Amino acid sequence: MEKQLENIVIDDAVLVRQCQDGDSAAMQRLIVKYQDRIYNVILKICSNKDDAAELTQETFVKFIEKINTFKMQSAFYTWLFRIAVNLSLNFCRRRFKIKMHSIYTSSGPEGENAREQLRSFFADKREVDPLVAAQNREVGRILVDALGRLEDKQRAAVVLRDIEGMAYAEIAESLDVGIGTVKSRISRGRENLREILKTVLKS
Amino acid sequence: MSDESKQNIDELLSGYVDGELSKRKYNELKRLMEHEPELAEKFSLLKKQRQLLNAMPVETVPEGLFDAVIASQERKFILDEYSASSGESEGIKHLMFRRALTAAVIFVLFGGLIGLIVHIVAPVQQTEPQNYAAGTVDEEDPLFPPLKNIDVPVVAADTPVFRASLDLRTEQAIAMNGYIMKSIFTHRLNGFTDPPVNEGTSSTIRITCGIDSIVELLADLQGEWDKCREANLSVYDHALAKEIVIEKISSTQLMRVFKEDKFYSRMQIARDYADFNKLNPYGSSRLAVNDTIPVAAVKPELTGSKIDRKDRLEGGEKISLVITVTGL
Repeated sequence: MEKQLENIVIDDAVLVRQCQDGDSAAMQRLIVKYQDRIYNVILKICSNKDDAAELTQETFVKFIEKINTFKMQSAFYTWLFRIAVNLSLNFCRRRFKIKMHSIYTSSGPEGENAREQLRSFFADKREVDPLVAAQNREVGRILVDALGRLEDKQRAAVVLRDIEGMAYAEIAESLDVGIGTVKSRISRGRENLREILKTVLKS
Repeated sequence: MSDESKQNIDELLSGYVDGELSKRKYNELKRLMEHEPELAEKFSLLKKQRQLLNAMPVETVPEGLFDAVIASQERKFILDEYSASSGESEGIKHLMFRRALTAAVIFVLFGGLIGLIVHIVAPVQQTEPQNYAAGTVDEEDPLFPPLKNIDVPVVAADTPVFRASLDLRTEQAIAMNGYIMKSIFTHRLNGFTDPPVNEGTSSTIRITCGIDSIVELLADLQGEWDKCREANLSVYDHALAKEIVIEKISSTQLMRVFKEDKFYSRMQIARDYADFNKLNPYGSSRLAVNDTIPVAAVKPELTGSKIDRKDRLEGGEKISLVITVTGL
């Protein structure tokens, strides 16, 4: 019975109110609920697991510190993502340039195999299961590297849209920009990503 | 295709992929893609790219994130507590206060030093008797409002100032002016006299000095009095707050006015002469040098004979006299 109750999805707003009242169990629930999503978004933005883990921790520390200032005027998760994206973008700026291994130098049979897999994925006119392609470890690495080559703001917008699956309005709220800017950043980011992947696949 | 329209189409394609287009734009783009295979190809690639990104494996957050967050919070809390209990913030406040105080002291000392240097280096302004500032004297003293048409000299506030203006009209203006300047020089009044101001046929000088010097100067003028066709003396009557004009004043009358030791008796004589001359005009005749004063016009108790000369000398009374010579 208790197990069943625990599985009930509790509305974010209720948990937030409980957090604001100092309920640490509610805090834990919210953290557990969003930790993977936040971690993945940060990881795609900063391209490094250790940095992503640290930034995720920092995001939730900030969440605890600032939860009393949250006025419920927006969705909780867009507010949380805003903290995560801002921390990540600041981190990227501090680091000046994302340290990444070049996607052009990936050699060896694994790298070549991944590129070949991607090439056939894009060339195939039929519907191919993208999950199969993306689950290849090397393909995933190429994609993360290609994302890492995008401009920080474009990368954040593309990640929130294509990986996190947020709506334009939610992205606008998370990035604290207008919807027009979001559209523009996503469009340019995708176009640039397409160019980067085209170059990789031709090499 | 221009960059702008290319960007617009890219945005539309992006919106199409995301299903964020309005129905009208959706149909429009769909029709466009049917006729442009390149656009359709681009759309297909975008769609695949999106699917690929969307299908990227979800990483699991490293274990113990929640514990790490709580530990981080506790560490922060302990540090804040320590900071509060150890008086660190008080120390910081004290340090800031001391720094501000030091800065203020340095600023004051620096300012003082600058002031001292300026005081030493800057030239000393000498107050000379001829340094008049018209209209600046006695402005707040209701007893001594500034005279109309007469520049007011600067004098000590506690010394009453008898202000007068002597207008001489003559056919020998140059000679008269020369004589006046010579007299000024002779009596060493040049240091107490402003440079003459010439306007048309008129020449004006301002003298501010002790009454004795003025009397000596006017005594000299007596010898030249017959050169004047007309002489008028204006004095400011503080009691009546108006100018008293003694028209066609004779040299004797002039001397009597200025020889009076006391300010108020001098004013009284001036009033009497003003009234008397109005009733007894000389017409166009030349001024009499030794014009006698009507006994009735002067009140005996106000004449200077009874006044101690020493009082006049020590009183330091200053006279401001403006002499205007106008050529006819």
